[in-house]
Amino acid sequence: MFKSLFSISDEQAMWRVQTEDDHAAFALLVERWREKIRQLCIRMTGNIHSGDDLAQDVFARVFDKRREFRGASKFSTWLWRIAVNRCYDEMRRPVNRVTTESLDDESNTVVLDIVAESNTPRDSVAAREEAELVRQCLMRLPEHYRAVLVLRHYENLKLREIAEVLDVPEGTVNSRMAVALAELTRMLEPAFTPETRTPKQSGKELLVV
Amino acid sequence: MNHPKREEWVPLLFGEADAETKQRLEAHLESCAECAREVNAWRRTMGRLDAWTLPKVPRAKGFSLQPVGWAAAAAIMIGAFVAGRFTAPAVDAQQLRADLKAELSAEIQEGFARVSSDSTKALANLEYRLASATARSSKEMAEEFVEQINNLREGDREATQALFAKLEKQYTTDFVLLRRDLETLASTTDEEIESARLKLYQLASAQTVIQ
Repeated sequence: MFKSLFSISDEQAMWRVQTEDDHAAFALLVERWREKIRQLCIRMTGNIHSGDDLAQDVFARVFDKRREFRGASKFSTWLWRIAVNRCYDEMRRPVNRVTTESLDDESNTVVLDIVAESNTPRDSVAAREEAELVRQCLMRLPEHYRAVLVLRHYENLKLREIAEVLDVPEGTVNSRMAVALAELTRMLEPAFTPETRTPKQSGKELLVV
Repeated sequence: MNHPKREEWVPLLFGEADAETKQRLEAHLESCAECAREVNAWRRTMGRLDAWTLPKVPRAKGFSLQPVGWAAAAAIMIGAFVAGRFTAPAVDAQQLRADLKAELSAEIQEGFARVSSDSTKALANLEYRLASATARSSKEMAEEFVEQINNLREGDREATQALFAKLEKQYTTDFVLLRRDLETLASTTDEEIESARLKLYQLASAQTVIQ
C-alpha cells in the first residue's frame, strides 16, 4: 500500500535527474536497478567479485550521461545498454582477457564463493560442478553472443528489447542466439553425460570452504 | 525436406513466436526428427543454464520499515491536520479542496521519498562497512554500528519534523492566497454583473426613447 506513494516511473525519475540533478530520484533508480545490473555484470564477466564495482560504475555513467537520455526511449533500455557496454570494456581489459578464459584457480575461487554464500548446505557437489561448468562455457562464448543469451535467459528481456539495447536488427539477435545455443549445446552436452565427465571437474578442491 | 533456418527456432524456444509461426514450426518438428533432435538439445541446454545461480545480496530488512513507519505516522497526523483545517468555516469549494489535497500529497510523497531513500542509502553504506569489518570482527565496530543506526533514526525523525513544519507553513500560505484569489474573483464577478445590468438597462431605456 505504501509503495504507491513512491511509485513514480523510471522515466519520470530520470527526467528529474536530468532536469534538476535530483539526487533522491537518482537514489530511487539505483535502488530499483542495482541488483539486476549487478547480476548482469557477474554473468557477463563471470566474476562474482566484480559485480558491485561494475554496477556502481554503470550508475556513475548513467549520472554522467544524464543529459543524453531521451524521453522517447525507455529508461531500462538505455540503462541496459550502458551496462552491457561497461561489461564489454571490462572484458577487453588485458588483465581480464586472460582470467575469464582460463579455467584454472581463478575460476575455482568463484565457485567457492558461490558455495560459501549459498544457504543450502545439502547442495550436492554435482550441482556446484554444474554451475561452474555452465559459467565456464558461457565465458567461452564471444561477448556479443553471450550478451544476447544473458539478456534473454537470465535477465528475461524480450528479443525485441535486446535488439534495441544492442542497437541491432531483431534478426541479428535471433541468429546470434541460435549460434550461442548451438555452441553451448556442443560444449555442455558431453559434459553432462556421466561417462565423459572429465575427472578434473571432480569436486574435491571445491569442497574446501 | 525444407528445414526452417536455425534462427527461426529462437522465438519459438523463448515463447515469443506468433501463433502462425508457432503452428508452422511445431508441425515441422513433428515430422522432422533431425530438427526435433536439435531443438530438444537446445531446450536441454537452456535448462542447464539455470544451474548457475547467483547468491542474492542480503538486503536491509527491518530497517526499511523505519522511514515507512515515520511516514505512516506523518500521514495520519497530516490527515488530521487537513481535516481540522477544512472543518473550520472557510471557502466552500470542493474543487479547491481536491486541488489542495493533490498538491499536498504530491509534496508529501516527494519529501518522504527523499527521507526514505537517504536513510536506505545510509543504511546500505553502514551495512557495507559492517560487512567489511567482519575480518577484524571487533565488538567495537558493532557498537559503533548500533550507535550510527540510532543517529540515523534520530536524523530520520528530525527530517520528518522539518517536513511537517514546511508543510504547515506552505499550507497556510496557499490557503491565504487561495482565499484572497477567491474573494477577488467574487468581487470582480459582482462588478461585471452590475455593469452588464446597467448596460442592459441603458439599452432598454434608449429603445424606449426611440419608440
